[in-house]
Amino acid sequence: MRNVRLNREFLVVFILTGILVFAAFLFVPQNCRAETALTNAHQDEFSEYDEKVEGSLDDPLEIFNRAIFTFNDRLHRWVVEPTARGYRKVTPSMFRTGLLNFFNNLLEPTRIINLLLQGRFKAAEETFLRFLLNTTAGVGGLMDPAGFDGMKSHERQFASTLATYGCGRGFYLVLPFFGPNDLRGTCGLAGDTLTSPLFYTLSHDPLAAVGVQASNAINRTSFQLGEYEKMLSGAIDPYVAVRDAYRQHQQKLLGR
Amino acid sequence: MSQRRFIASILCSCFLLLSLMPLNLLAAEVGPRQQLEISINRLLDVLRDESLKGEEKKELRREHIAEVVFLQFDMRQMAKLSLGRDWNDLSEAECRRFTELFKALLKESYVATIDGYANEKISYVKEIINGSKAEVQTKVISPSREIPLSYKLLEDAGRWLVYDVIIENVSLVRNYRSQFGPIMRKDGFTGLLAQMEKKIAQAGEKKDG
Repeated sequence: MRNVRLNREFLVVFILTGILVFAAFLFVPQNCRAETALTNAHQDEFSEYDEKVEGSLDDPLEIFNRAIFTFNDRLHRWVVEPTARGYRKVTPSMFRTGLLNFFNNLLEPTRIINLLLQGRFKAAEETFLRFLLNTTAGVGGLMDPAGFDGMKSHERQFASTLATYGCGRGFYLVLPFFGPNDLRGTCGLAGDTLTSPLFYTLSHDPLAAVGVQASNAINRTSFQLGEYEKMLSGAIDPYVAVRDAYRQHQQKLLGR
Repeated sequence: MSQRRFIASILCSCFLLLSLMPLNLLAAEVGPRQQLEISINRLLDVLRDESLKGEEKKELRREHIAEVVFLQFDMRQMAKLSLGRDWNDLSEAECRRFTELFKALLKESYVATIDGYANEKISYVKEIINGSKAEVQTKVISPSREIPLSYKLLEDAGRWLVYDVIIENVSLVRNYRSQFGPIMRKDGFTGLLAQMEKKIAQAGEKKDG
């Protein structure tokens, strides 16, 4: 008799659990759907891509900017890219990587100062150790032994320091040679230059400074040949495409 | 019935019921990441295909890439979001024409960009699912750098289709919308179509030349 009673109880529990499990599968997803439908009621599917006010960047100097953009564009397509292509053919990749590391290492003092100004002491310490190790064991920054040790570089420049102190972005500005920027970034560039070791070694010889910057640019381009052209090959208005890419990129960087 | 036996029977019932669950319910669980991964692996096969390598086979290779990649794309949705609310005023024929031209533009830019990723490794960083929308974050890793590449996907009857690609923090749809908007305001829809056609023709000439 006891067995029969047990079986019946088991059957009741079995059916109840079954109902519950199916109810969960049937109702939970529907509830979620209903909820999302409700929250989306006041906006449509295009809202995801509506320009957010905080992220927008005015372009009052568009006519001026477009002219500089055209200049930079021609400079890149006709001079920098072909030179970098030829340079890549005749230069061993080890040399190019070395030069890339060297110039990157020279940016570390700027990064350290800005990390300190932003109160990010842990990251500043890591960057400082990186700079120390790469300058000594990495032969003046040509190699990147710190990178092998997993020490990360923290990208911080004066523009982001100005941002942490509440300085607005101003407006969009295309700089000759340097490319897309904004007012705040342009001010930041001055600070970056003043903290660069290159500035102090080359300030007495402007021609050499230009030469060094140019070789840096060409070396850098040799790692991304054809990328600029590919990026813009599907753009209806390349000027707007680059401006928007700059905005989106900055939003992400500064949003963190 | 003792408490222990009661719990045991609940567990037992759960197990039995779950094992009886129809198989298609489980199949629907193949998430956005896995579906995307299948598509990306097919793309990598094309990129690494020895018979398609080299500058002279570029056209054929890009045809293959486009075929594989666009299969996982919801092209109409991409075109629609890129144009913005003006889409709602278009006729069906205009929608089709616009989507067609949009696809041709993507072939010039997006396909050309990923054509360079043959030797890179792809790592899957994160998958975020929110109802019928999802984002899959990946990284394209080459010896000299890492490029963050994310996909936004929309579920349609169990199939997850890409409606936006975010390369190095730049959303493709947003970028196109910022270009299309001012042109629509200035030259209208016909003007926009004309400019798209011109751009595609230009890219075609470059290939022939």
